[in-house]
Amino acid sequence: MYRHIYGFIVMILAAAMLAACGSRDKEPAETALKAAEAAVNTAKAEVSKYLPDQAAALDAGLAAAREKFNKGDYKGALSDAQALSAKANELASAVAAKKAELSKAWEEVSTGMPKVMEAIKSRVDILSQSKKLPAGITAEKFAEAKAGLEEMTKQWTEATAASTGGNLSDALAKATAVKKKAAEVLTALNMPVPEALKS
Amino acid sequence: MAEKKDPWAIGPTTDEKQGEGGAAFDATQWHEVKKGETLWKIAEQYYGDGNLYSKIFDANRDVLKDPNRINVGQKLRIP
Repeated sequence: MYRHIYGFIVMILAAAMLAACGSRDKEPAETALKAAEAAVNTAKAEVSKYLPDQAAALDAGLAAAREKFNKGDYKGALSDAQALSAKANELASAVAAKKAELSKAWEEVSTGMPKVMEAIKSRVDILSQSKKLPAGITAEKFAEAKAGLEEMTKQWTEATAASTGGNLSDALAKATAVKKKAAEVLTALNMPVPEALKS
Repeated sequence: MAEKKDPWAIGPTTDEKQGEGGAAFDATQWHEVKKGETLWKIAEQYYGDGNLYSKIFDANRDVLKDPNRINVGQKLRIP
């Protein structure tokens, strides 16, 4: 009889100890989860903009940590949340590095491209005054070059607008299209293609 | 002492080539004058019309004083 009572008491004590341990882990897990949420929310907008492939991993990590917490796996949630905070901070640093890289690339292209476009415009203006086109440039080719100049001028305006709006990734994507078009037009006009337009 | 600039120097200097935007974006076309060439002939070659020689002359006023006098080996900008 006493053995049964003793066994029952031991079971109750064990359950109480487990519950105590569980609730002891809950608070730090909750705190870590909140910190991770804050870190993710802070980093997410810029990560989505500059490192879009990493943004989904942040969301998935947060969802996994929350799920563990809701299921009572506080240790797992704590561990995941801490790792997620570290990841969010790491991505924030990566975003800063990416922004610096994009700014440098934009600075180069925004200084160089207007000169290329000016050279093309100058040649198109002169050839428009010519009574006869030079050897190697047919009327058709010249018409294409003029249309290309118009197109790249429009694209360049869009690129600079994207840059002014703070979207450097978009600005550089548009600038790449302008570079490609400029290389085509220069070739059509028998003009040298600068190195920066060849890559 | 500052380096004296050679008044007979022709063609692009390193600074002119690299200027703002860097040499990587330099789309300047250069022509090296050959024996028997005139600005008229060069304009005809690049523009198809010798009458447009003044465009080349204007773009090279730093090295050309007279459109009728160009020297073999001179490097001219073709605008």
